[in-house]
Amino acid sequence: MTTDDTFESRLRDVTSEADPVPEHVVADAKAVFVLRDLDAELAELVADSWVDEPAVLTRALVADVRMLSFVCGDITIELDIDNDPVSGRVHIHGVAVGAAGDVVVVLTGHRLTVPLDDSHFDLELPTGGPLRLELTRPDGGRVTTTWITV
Amino acid sequence: MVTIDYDEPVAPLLHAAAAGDSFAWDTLVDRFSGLLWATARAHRLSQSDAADVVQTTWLRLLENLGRIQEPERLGGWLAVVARRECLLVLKRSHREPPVPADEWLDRVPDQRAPVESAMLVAERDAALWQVFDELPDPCRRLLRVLVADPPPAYAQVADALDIPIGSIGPTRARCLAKLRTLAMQSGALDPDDVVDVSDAALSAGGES
Repeated sequence: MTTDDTFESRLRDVTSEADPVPEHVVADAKAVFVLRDLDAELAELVADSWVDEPAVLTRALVADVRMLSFVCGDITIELDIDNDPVSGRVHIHGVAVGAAGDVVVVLTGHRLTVPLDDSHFDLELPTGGPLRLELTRPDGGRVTTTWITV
Repeated sequence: MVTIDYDEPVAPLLHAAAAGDSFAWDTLVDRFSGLLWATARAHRLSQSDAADVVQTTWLRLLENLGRIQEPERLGGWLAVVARRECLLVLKRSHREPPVPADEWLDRVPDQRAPVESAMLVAERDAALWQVFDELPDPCRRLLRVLVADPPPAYAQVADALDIPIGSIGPTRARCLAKLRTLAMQSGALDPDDVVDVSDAALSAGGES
């Protein structure tokens, strides 16, 4: 061991005590294995306004809404996500073209069913966090978006 | 040399998890959650934002199980996902992204959210943690990921921070030297705490 290795090892011990991975984070990560969905087709994220826009532009638009697009075959899903910095609430306006029936919002702890109104839906969540959307094709086939964090 | 200290290859675990083996999944979570947590905390995310980033990263792997191109590089893949999620969180909270690594070494520590810390047993450890937290950001960021538990491979550190792998060794040495100096000045470190005689002789010879 060099001096640096010894010092780094001491720093690792201190850090492991001062800033450990919380147990609930590990437990939650293990628990999500049951959320695996092998039957649904995955709608990939094809556009994210917070990632795709040049940094200079987004810096000027910091308070702006985040826009996401997902595609899976003939289904397209567009989301406008608006985080209220004061209340922490998250408002999502969505358009799901090509889907039928309801949209199911899958959060890591529970699921919400939101009706589609002429391809549109609105959703308000008390706090942000990881979620995905499940939709149904007119022929009954299931489609799920990739996980996102809002 | 810093390498993963777990011997079991990742690819069979990944394949087993993809086939539905929850024990294999748990093993992957145990192995890489330290790296992902360190990545999020290196970006100065709060406990709850860091927890979201780690959770989202695992969910992302879950939906890509069986589609990972290079299973042995899973740690790097996870680190990249976590880093991108960190940048989105910073954007959501209207905070600046990290300073690029080439602008850094002696930038003055600026106003930043303090890292919450659990109770430490030794006062000296607390003092060292404090000094560590006050390092210039690129140093603090690099060291925070390097000291993840278990120790990550350099390739994973490079993926977690989007820095060239070749820069890690030299930067680590400079940052550890800087931290050691600051820690000694503040009394968080005794001169003979981490420097043995041969190393002291070496640094007296002009090499650090």
